[in-house]
Amino acid sequence: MGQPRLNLKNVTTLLVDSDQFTRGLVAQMLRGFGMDFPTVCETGAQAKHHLMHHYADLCIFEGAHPDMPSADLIRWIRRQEKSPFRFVPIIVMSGYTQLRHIADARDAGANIVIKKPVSPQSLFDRITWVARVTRPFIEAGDYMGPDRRFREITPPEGEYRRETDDQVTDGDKVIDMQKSTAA
Amino acid sequence: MAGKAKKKIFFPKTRLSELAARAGGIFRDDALDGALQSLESMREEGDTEIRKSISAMEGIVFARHAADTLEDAQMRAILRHADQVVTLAGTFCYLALDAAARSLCDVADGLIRANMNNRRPIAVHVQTLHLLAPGGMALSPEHAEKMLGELAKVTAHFNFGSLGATPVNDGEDVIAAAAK
Repeated sequence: MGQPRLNLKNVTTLLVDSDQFTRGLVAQMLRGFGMDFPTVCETGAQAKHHLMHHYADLCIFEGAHPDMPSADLIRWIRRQEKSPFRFVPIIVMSGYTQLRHIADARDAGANIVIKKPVSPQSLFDRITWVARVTRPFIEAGDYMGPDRRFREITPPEGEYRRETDDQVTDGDKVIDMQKSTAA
Repeated sequence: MAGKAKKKIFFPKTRLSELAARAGGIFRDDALDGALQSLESMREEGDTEIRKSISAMEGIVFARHAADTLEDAQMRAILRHADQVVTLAGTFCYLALDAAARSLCDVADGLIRANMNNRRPIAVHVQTLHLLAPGGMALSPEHAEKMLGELAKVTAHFNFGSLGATPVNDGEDVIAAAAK
């Protein structure tokens, strides 16, 4: 069987990294994948400003920004209930010395965390993954983000695996599955 | 008594998924070839960045009046530059340099956490990075291996854990299988 194609033309990417050369490296990889040049930001504040005024189809962040941890920026994005970018796929690239913070980024709602140095192969495979595999988003307590259990399929329609799966949405529509029980 | 935590599940449709599924596009092998060529065109610039980072670290540890103990800000600067060398050495496949820079990160991070900030173990690592940097002395693999062995002794002396041991657990196998 031949390889599947991936059409990344016109995908708008927001790349946030404080280091100019690293931004250039990632931008070159994205160009190699057939993507347009990404919008680049150096800080979390710049990224927030960009997202409030423009759209991004994909976000690629470094593990920690000069003005805030990546987890704070991700949490802010996931908590924007009325914004179209709430569910935007987020890939976090963690530097070697930032590896202790990757659990924070994942708990904040990142789709994927990659260790730097990022190879073209690992970046392409992860972009393919977030583009092709629809993972449900879970909002529960402090967490809002993709279901962190890795699998290749979404749950069968009408079947939910957890007792606490009380609401399910399809797009913008919220479906009540069961009322929460207040004891 | 607390009630059961209320949970919502969404199945959002992203524009990335819609765009990626359009007709046309690029095969994985072609995408990787294109990206590798783009990266290769940046190798010279990458080498310059590596040397700049090493020079910055040398400026800190070999300053004329450098004390035996470095300031916290200096240690953080070392960590930042060493992290950059790890990224670039890994990207451009300088394996010995990559190993030495990781060792420096482990030692510097461990010293910071132990509130020690000793200059000498940092200095020995920075000297090694200088020797292993692209465009420097052409060292034999045996010589490079020996130097890395000496750095391992320094790391073993302090017994700091490796940052690289932190699990990422990002479903690597599933992702790789899905992409092919």
